Amino acid sequence: MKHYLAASLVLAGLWATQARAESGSVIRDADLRQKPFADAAVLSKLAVGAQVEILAREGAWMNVRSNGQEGWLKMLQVRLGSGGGTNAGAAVGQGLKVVTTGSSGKTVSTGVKGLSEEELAHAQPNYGELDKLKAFGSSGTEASRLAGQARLAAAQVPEIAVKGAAASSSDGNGNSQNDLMNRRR
Amino acid sequence: MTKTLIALALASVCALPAHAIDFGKLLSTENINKAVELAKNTADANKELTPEQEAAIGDEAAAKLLGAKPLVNNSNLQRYVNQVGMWLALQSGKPALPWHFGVIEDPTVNSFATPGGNIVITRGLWDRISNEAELAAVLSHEITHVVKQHHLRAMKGEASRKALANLADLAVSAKGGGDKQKLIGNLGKGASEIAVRGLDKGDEYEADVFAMVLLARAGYNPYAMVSVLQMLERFNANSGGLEVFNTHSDPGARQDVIEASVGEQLEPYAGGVQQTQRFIAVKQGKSPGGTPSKGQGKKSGK
Repeated sequence: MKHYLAASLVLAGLWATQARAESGSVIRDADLRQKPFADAAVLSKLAVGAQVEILAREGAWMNVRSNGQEGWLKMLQVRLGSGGGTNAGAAVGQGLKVVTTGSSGKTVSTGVKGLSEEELAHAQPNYGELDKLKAFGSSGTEASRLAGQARLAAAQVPEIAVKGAAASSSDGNGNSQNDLMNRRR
Repeated sequence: MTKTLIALALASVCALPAHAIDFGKLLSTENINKAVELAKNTADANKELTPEQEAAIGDEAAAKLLGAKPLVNNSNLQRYVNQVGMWLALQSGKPALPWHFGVIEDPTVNSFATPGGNIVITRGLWDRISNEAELAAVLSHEITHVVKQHHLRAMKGEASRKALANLADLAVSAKGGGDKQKLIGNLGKGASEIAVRGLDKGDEYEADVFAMVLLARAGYNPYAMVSVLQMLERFNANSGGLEVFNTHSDPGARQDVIEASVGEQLEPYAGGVQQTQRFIAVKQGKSPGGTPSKGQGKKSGK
């Protein structure tokens, strides 16, 4: 009996994870549109925090279902996860060591498997592998020709200045070296 | 708390935070004379590195990274990421750098760039990317770090004066014919301060935003950058964040910054290429197609 209970709990957990994986929440009041166009008909208004199931992405748009209604939102109007939940704590507890390293007191999260900093620190340089990396290089001419075959056309697009970055600098997870330095100065 | 989760998610990848880090840690003794010059330049006057110095430093870092994890033994894949990466680099304003791209045999989700233009993604990341525009988004983010010399700035900014001093000491030892292995060990310690730090948060934002510009310039849907970020969040939610490699800044903030900076500006390009035949072919283990068979015989020696 205990066994069954445990099994069903695990399954329930998996389902919950799956559901989270496919869902997001609207970060501000948004219009759910019939098609992925700014002037498409508005099906309904979604309030900030509204949960959506993500079905597909196209261009700047995301096909979602909310309260049984299917429509389109801008990708940037949605953040994944349930929004305001406490899953992060669980994730940290399960899989991550969060350690404070160095004199800066910055919080560093370290993965527990795969390529680790330690492996990097102890690795011997492999120049043979470096040569191999170089041998696979593509010339600009070849890359352009193949891009053309893939129907990629170059366009003139000016640079865009970064805005809105200051608002987040108070976050405790910030790793901004500039912030650090500015404070020192 | 959600913020934290997202932060962790982004840390694992797109943020691809690891470069500055690895750069410091990966430096070894070959070309160490050039490292000395770097140390002098950066410590003394924030002088510009010559392209040759930058490339030499970057090659050292890449060799060390590849020493930890070799390239995936799949020449189709390796050639393909170079074809995509080079096409993006051509639009970056620094097409003439010695750009090289690779996929390393590692299950985590991460990517790296070194000065000079070596860019490496993990197989774990490749496995989770679903179309060419997403691959291009990841590569563009890394290309931006190289083009804007973020790692070099991080070295100066993080005041790795200590680490730089160690570098210089090491270089002196190397000149004296010191034993290489020992030197590398020392460097590992000496550079540890620098090594545990991510790039400037502002640099990550810049890499995200400029990556979207690069995507648009190269004919891709620039909003693939956003879908990559969301893929990472999803992946991390599912994995319990197990594979997070390194530090990162507030992630919600990254999409917020994209929204504040780019917003709808690039929507005229949102109809750009998303998927390609060559991506699908390589995912299926085939040749990208239309590629000369040059290099086909160059199988990994592993």
